[in-house]
Amino acid sequence: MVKVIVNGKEVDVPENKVLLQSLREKGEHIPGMCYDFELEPYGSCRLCLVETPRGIATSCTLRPVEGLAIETLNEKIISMRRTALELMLSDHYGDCIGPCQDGCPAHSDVQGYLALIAMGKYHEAVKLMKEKYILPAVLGRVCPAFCESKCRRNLVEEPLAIRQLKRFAADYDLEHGPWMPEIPPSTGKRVAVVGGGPAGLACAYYLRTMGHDVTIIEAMPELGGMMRYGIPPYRLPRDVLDKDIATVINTGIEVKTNTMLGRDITLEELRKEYDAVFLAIGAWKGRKMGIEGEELEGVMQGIEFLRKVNMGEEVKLGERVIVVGGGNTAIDVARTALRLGAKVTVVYRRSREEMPANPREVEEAEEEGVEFIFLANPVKIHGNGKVEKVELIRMKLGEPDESGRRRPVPIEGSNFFLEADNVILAIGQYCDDSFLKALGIEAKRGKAAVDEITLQTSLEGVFAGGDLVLGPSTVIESIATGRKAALMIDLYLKGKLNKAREALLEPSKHIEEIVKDDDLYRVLFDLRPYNHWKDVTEKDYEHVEKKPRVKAKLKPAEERIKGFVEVEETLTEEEVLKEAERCMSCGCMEVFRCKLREYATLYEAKQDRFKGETNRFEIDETHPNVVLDNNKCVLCGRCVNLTHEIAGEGVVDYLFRGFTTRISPPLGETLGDMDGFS
Amino acid sequence: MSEIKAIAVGMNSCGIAAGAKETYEAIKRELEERGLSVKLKIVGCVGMCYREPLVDIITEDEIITYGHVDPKKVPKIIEEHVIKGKPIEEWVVKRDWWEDGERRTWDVDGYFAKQKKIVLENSGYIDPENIDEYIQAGGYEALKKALQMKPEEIIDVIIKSGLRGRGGAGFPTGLKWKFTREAKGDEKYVICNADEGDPGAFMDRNVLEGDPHRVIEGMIIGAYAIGATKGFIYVRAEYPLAIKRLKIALQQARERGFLGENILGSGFSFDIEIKEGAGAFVCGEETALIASIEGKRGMPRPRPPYPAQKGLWGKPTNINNVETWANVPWIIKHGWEAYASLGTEKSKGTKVFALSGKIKHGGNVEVPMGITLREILYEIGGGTKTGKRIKAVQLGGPSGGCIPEYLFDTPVDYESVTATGAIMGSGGMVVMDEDTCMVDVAKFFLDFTVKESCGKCTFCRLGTKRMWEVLDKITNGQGTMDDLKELEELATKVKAGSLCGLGQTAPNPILTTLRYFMDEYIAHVKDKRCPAKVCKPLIKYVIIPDKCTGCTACAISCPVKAISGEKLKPHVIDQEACIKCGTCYTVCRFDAIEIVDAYEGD
Repeated sequence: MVKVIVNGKEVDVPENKVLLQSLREKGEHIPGMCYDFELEPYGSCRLCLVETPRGIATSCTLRPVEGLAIETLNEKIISMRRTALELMLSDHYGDCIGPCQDGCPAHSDVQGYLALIAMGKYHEAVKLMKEKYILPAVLGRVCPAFCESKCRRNLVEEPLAIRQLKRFAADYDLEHGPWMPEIPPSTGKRVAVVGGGPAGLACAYYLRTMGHDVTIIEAMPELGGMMRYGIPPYRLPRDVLDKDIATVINTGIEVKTNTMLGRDITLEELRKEYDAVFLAIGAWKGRKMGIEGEELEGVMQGIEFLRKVNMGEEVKLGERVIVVGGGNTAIDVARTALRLGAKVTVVYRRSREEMPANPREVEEAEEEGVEFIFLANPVKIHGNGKVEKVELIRMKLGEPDESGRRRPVPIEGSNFFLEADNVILAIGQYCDDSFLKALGIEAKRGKAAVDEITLQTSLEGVFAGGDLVLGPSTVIESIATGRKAALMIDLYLKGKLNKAREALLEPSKHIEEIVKDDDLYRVLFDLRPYNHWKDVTEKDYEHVEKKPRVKAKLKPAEERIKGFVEVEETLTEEEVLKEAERCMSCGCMEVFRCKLREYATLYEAKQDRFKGETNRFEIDETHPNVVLDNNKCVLCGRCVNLTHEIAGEGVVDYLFRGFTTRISPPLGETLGDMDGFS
Repeated sequence: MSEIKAIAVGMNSCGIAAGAKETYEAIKRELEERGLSVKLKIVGCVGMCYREPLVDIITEDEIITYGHVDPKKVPKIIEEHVIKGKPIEEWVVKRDWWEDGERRTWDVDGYFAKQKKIVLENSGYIDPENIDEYIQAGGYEALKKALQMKPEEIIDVIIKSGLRGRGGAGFPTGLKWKFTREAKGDEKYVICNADEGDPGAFMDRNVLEGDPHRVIEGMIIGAYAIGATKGFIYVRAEYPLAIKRLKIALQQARERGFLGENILGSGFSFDIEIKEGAGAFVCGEETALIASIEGKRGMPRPRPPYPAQKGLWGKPTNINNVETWANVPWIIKHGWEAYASLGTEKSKGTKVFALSGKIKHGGNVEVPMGITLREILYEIGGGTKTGKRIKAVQLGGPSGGCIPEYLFDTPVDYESVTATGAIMGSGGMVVMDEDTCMVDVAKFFLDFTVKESCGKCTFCRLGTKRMWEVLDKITNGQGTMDDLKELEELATKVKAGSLCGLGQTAPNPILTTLRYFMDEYIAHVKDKRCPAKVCKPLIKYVIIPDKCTGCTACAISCPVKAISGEKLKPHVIDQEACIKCGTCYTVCRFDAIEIVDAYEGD
């Protein structure tokens, strides 16, 4: 044994081992890809660099001498390692995860559950979904499917019907006894979740799976929030919603309905009684236009209109209804009004392309007979006590605004009139700032102000998510914030929130703490993992066989408008299995154990730090067990050294020099030609 | 005037390239035709490559050398000098004579005045394919002397001489020998590194072609001192003449008992094998070289263990460069004191340099350590061919750096050269004048290392490529000031983080040009201007109407027909079509074509 000084601390290490090995055995973090304790130190990857008084050296070759002082994680070493990683990444042609997973606000493993669906393993698929989101049967119906718009099949023909596949698997799961998570023993910590919508339910669920005791405080008679009181049942049947919510609540969540924050219970009380509070009370106030005539009888707020209809209250509509707005709420309002027997016209100030509403639903609404007037905006509602007609002005599109959409500009003198009995405004929702401020929570423009990383509000231990933080959003986005809040609340309950915040902000400054704390490590790789992207175009997929996307099964429009029965039908299993086969599995198979990704995350290495030429190699898939993909190879050389050791030369070796160096079987051969290589 | 003993033609690769073979044949024919029985022989290169082909007329007490001897000059030289005994003074470029047993040299350029010949003492004076000439010049005397000494004594002499590795790194040779001698091993090897690969370097080639026995003798002495039984000369296959002459020399040495079993009855046995390298630059790195001899891909491995402990096939191995080995016989023969009296405190003896680029006197020179760059470049090298100012000199090839004119008083020794950011290197000295763009030079050397990186370690394989790409961007006029910062940072990291000498030194051309020629980088980045008018995207060729006579020479020679105009009237260049090849500039006899900034006034 000799004494060496590692980062200022004396450590005894055996003389005959290289420092990388000794220090790793002592739990020190020393990255490295080419080192293999069964082989001679090789020194190719340059990640195990440490600083010695004589300069920078690879710890895989460094043997200890008495009194040697080394630094393993100082700024210089971190920067050197980051550069080495960034150089590797600059010629690493591959995707870590599929674009679908990246596109999903919850970053669910789409490729993974599609593969399970393709195998007919529906419960397992749901289990995998529930690692990142709840309510798959709901999402299988109402999700705008951000994943699909990112799907690489878009470059071939059409995206996978991911939403419909999810719906099939989730329905199957609900019908055949749903998969339920195992709940660990209680931690004794109690969390109050205010609001039983998607964000609240998600937060409650994930906190439960971590063993915390959760109570949901819900103002309305039933759980579901906007899913129940906003989304119409022809899109989301209530029995599906109930069953999906049941899988959440049945994990052992206490629910108090008809309990309103500020009316039935105060935040102070909750903070006293519980260890943490999550606020997900949504955005229930409709925005006003601020034009003359808004106070006339027959003018309504869209969200209020939907709530009443969905609660079974009587809503009287005239013959002609004008809906103002271009979002999903506007479409829901229009289609609901249509089903109540009105003639409906949607007025939107931009053009169809700028509509935030899901195009699928816009199309369905059109099929059902909803009329659209684009590039027009109400300037005045005329009437004598009651709506009679709406005065509108034509708009044109000007320069893009901060949202990137082109700003609508009124065309002077282009005013025109539409006769109407009702005007329903669906131009945005918010939460009342004054209500939040009364709770002691900082708020801005109808949203609760939270720390972007921790979702904690200005009150310690009070977190917020969902529409309350995002503004009106989708179910999946709300669920994603609910889950994130659960992770943060868990860290808060463990007293690690601030540390986690710092680690998430600048991982490379906290590498040692992260690698030594499972909670920090997990949350970092859950929320901020490095993701590598291929830059691809249609050309890259020219060789891929075209397979048409499964057709959505919609009931005929004339039947649909007769009532509130679900408009879309579930696919057959045959269709599902065939559709799932279309997935091209863009994401890397080794993503979970990839060292490059792990180090790139920890060291904050950036893919595009060094832009330049990249190699494109053909992938050798000729071998039954081994795929040789030089595009992802970092040339650590271990395969070369191992095969040399075991089988001698002539299996795989380096080929060519310089930037084009690659690993290859002997020239002109493929891995499949290599007898006994595995 | 005394009798002519022989006529010699300098027939190293450099001489042959200049036409020495034709000259040799012409002399042979002339002598035959005139029925003269004067001996005609070949010699190596005396170093005056710039005056080749060189022909020596050798008499008992004098050698008279003629320069630029093409076959047309041959009859006159034979007639006047050989037959009539009257040297043609205006063609004489060099004279050698002997005083007190020492050779003295005069030359027309003053090229040899400041040189000191040890390694090159026989080069250009003996027939490299004839061992007797080497022996007559005192060859193998050192070996005989060494075999009378104890190995430790020899090592002690080499240590005291102060000889340091001439491959570039400058590690004390005697110490290296000592480590290998003391290392445990049933078998030991010595290797001569003749994998000379730097662009602009031809010192080793010259020694191997001109005086191969000197290297062999050095190796035998070293092997005896170290206890090695086998030696290898690793020489690049691109040196066929050197290989041929080495093979002849080895065969002759074996025949005379200098190599093989029981050398000169001493009981010591040793032989040498030639290994031809396949042309990978990295094989000049000792661990890669060893891998290559072993039949593996030439890739470096981490050190330690050093070859002295674990070298060829895992056995203790001593590797020295050609020039290092070539110093050994002289040191043994003349004693360490004589050697140590030359040079500076830490750098003893002499160093051979290959002068190339824009220098007037391009060739091999051997100078005492401590001489200044200015003395080498101006007094020996004669300044530039064009008479323009020397802007910089590049030392050490792709691993070296560019030293600016204002540092030319730097003495040539390992420490002083390293302090400039360059390295002593193996001896390549590429001279640059005002027409050289320093960013382009850095890119040129990087281009070399990008291609020659073995591909093993991250920093070298990818770092050199990314640095090259930044340089490319800058020379295309698309660089930013941030790029310069990035470039320096990356260069520093590649230097610190690479596995072997190749990667560790590859950034030197960038770092030194950034250090000394930042203004040129800034001109490329900020003004989109190449001050030397080299970088094509930043220049354009224009015809000055007042000077153009309308001779049509440019239009005829333009490969893309970008020049038009009526005969005898000023022509114009279509800038859209012009590929900036520079042909018009070269063919114009009226200086009517000018290179100007492409972005002037922008």
